[in-house]
Amino acid sequence: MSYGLQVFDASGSLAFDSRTAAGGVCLGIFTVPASGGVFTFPEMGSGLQGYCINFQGKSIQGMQFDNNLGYPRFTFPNLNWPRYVALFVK
Amino acid sequence: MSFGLQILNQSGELTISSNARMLHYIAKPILVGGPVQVSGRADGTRSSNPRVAGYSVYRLWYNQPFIIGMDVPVGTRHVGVISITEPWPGVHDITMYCGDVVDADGFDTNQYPVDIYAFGFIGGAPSSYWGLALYDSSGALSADFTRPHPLWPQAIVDVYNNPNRPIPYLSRPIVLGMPSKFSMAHVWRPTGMLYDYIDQMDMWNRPNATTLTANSRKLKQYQISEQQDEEGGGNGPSPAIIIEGANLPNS
Repeated sequence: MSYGLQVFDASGSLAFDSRTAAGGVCLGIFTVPASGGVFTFPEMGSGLQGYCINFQGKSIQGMQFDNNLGYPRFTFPNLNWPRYVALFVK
Repeated sequence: MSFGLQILNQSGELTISSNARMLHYIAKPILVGGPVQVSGRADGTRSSNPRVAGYSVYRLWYNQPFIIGMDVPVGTRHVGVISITEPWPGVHDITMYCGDVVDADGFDTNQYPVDIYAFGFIGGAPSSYWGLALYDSSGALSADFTRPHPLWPQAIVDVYNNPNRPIPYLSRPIVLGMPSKFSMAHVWRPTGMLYDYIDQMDMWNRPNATTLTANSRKLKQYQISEQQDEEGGGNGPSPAIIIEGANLPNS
């Protein structure tokens, strides 16, 4: 099949191709409070898998992801100090 | 979801969503000075002169959240983000590792500059009246394909308990994300009745064009007479996004 979206830049180079894109989409970069936090995305719907990377690029140990509400929910434990995380779903 | 746009790839993965936030290339952090080479002695005591791995520092002026992508050249070099600090608001110093040629103590003796790139979000209005821009359900710009270098992830890999991951053939793969494994441990050394304190962190390596793996690199080592607090592990899921970096700007 060849459905999908291709985007070319002004010089004619392919800048995006949904057919070969992988790894999902970013939902934003957020600050998790030191005491932990919950981030939900009702508009994204169900059936997605979530992952995160922090400022340094590492995953946050103890982060839990579920679709129990029918949409993505990321739950972070007490991390001792606040930190940036980029949240993704695929 | 009431309305919006979602596009899936052939594996059923989400590739575009009007309710996500598309990452774009923002800037190339600038090398400050040159690489600092390994120094000190692993058999010295802490106070005098510990052996410390080389590194290089890159500066980014940006007052919004960002994440770092790094070049991982084919060969023996190991690459990773050691730390990021914000010495002043909006000024970020990114300390990078890019080394090879291991010495008798297990430290890389050659440290090189490495290309890194910052990715973040584009705000405001689309840059032109032609092209594709997406807005989320609250009316905020969520993807702006009218600007150059949208993040186009080509693969996601996870080396957790699973080294040597295949990646697509690309001209110049850039990796966003880091292996999560690190350790700061004391190792008993009967000779001399001392502990070796060893601080190490997993770094990326690309042994050939289409394989990404991670190996532990030593960041610091010294000897100490008493065992102190240890911080181990951090070994867990390590998702990393791979993109084509051939067209990213050089400055």
